Amino acid sequence: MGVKRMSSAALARINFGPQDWSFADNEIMGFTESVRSPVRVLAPTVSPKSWKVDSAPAWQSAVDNRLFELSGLARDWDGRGSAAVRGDALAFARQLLHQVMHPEASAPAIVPLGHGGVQISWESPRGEIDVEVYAPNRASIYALDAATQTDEEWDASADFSRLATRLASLAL
Amino acid sequence: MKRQRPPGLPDYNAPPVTEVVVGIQFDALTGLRAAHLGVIWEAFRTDFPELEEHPPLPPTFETFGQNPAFVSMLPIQIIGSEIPRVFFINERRTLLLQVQRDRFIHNWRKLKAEDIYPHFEQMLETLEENYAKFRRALSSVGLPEPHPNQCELTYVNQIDAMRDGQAFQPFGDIFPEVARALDLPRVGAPEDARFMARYALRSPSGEPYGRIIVSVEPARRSDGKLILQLTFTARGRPLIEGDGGVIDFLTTSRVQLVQAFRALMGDEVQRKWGLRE
Repeated sequence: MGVKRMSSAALARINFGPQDWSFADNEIMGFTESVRSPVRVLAPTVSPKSWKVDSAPAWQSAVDNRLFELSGLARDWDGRGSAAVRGDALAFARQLLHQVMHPEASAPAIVPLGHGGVQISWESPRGEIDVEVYAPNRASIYALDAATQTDEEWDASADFSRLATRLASLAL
Repeated sequence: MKRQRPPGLPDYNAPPVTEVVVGIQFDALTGLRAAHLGVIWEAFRTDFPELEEHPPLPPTFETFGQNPAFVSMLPIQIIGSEIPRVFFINERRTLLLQVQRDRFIHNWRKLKAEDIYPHFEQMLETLEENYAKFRRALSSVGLPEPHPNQCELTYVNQIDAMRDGQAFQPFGDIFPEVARALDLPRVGAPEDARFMARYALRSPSGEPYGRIIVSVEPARRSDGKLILQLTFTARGRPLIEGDGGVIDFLTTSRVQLVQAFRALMGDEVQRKWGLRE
């Protein structure tokens, strides 16, 4: 009965998709990875472009660093019995940010919460927005309009279009 | 009660499918340790005697906002990699279960020409039966019930791109209308082509909850054979809490994917695959 161990090289590759066919060649399989046998996708080589192509938004690096910091917070990180910060809540928060943030915007403030989730906050002279992510598919949003001093709150699971609209109105 | 194929759904005598994946992603079981995986394997070992360890897959979510772009891969350091993903594999190596902290996945794969796709109803039964077994195993080590947050169904199809020992591109046979639209004056039809299309899935109230993703790409198999690989995926969050939501998502997605397969590809090639309507 064979037991195949995960090598450290394999673990390292997961961070650098282009070396690993299953991630690089087949992005859509990121959820339930196909395991039949590796295929090498055949793509033509074309001349390099004269302009810079950078697909990562400007805020991504700062956000990833912050999420990495938060991922290290174990149970009772605040000395008051708070839960460890959940990796899947961080992953969901990152996904949410990709859906709603302008690529050139600055990174928002992200702070840990006692239940294992995180709060994401934006503030400008036009108002403020707080998103509390409890777990995957579970987020509560609070938005304040500074001009009218009106606020609203709603829950969201997969559709963050309303949050994106409110965020754009902050003109960050 | 045995599950039945929905009446009127197209079927094929010899479909080009080479792998089918049905999967559930749930909120991470933060209490699950590597040692628990051994206990869990014991529950499956009779039917799935082979074991493999692999790096865990990062959490994936279908969400909607104003940015249609793909999200870059989550750095593994954020979710941790200390607990591996394990494969439990049957003796013929055609069926496997994948288990990790936030995932339970069932695959069927065609390894030999004589391997016959067991069909979705059978795969769903295998998933249900083994997911129930998985939950009992979790309970036996004091871990909580998983709370599903995403489901996925994927069909991988590989179309031979060799004819009489020569390479040829089957794109025009598979997508004749697309190929015709791509004809260039005085140049002719494309030699080959690739594309990916995403479609939003919406609940009866109009709320987006998932996506269908279709990708087509020329590729070379590890045995050197040239192929056109067609992948049909449906992924999203279950609309109902509990087991019913998972089953509902997967059965609905199956109908949508079969209908997508029927709608997107040429009639002639589908007749070659033994289309029955």
